[in-house]
Amino acid sequence: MGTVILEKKSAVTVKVVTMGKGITNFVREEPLTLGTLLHEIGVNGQMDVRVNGATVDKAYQLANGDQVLVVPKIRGGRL
Amino acid sequence: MRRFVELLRQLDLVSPDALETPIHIIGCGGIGSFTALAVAKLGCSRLHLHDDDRVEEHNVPNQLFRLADVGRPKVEALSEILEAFTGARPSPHVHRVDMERFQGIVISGVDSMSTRKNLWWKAIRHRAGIPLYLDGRLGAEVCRLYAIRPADPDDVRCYEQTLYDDGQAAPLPCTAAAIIYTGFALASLIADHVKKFATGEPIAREIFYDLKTLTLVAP
Repeated sequence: MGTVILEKKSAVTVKVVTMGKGITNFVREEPLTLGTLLHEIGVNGQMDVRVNGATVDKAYQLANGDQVLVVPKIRGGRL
Repeated sequence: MRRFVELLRQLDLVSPDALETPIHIIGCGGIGSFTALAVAKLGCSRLHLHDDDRVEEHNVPNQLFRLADVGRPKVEALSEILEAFTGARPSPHVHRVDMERFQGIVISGVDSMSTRKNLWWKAIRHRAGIPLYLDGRLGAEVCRLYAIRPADPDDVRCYEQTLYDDGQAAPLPCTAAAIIYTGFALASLIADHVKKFATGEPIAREIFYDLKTLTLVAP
């Protein structure tokens, strides 16, 4: 009797801090790119994004425990 | 003598002699008015306030001004308020900053990216007389603070990447554009940077601070 090897996909948990809104933990199957995550959470060009404090490409593959920071582009100072 | 006594509480933090560098605050609204109070209380006595606006009624809930200041030039009202708080009267300049040649620390608290860009290109960029440029931005409960040495090419390159257009900024309802406690929070960060500069401590080039999620990040 042969051995059957099942491909087991592992999950990644990513903490997303959306400044001004809230903090969410996303659990998704690997591979998960930054671009896929941003599309899913609806981040547009009015936001700056950092992963673990650094600016990275949208093709960056997120790893378990990564922290994604979403910061709105703000301009203000007074009314 | 009266001022010296008033400053005693700050002596363990920073010597008044280290705070002799002139400080120019550009924009005296939701960021600049509270920043002026914080650095004046810290012991910075050579303060210059720059703004061409007058106090309006809708400024009273979220800026340092009093109801009695409505109609007055902001810099004149603010100078009077700070003198009452500290005993030292900052120099008010009722004008819109354009091609000035500043000497000292410059703090930007302006209310749009177009004004910020104009200030940067005409009066800050590559100016050796400005050892530190602090650009504070706030919207709703989020603050950004940039600490830049305008004569440092690496700082200049990084900072200019943050000069997005007003149209790229996240839209906010008018009532969320300047919230009083966010202004206080940003003023605290700016005053802390002034203290760090005076004492030679390292300064983060970029800080994000969000009161909603209580997140402070210096990437």
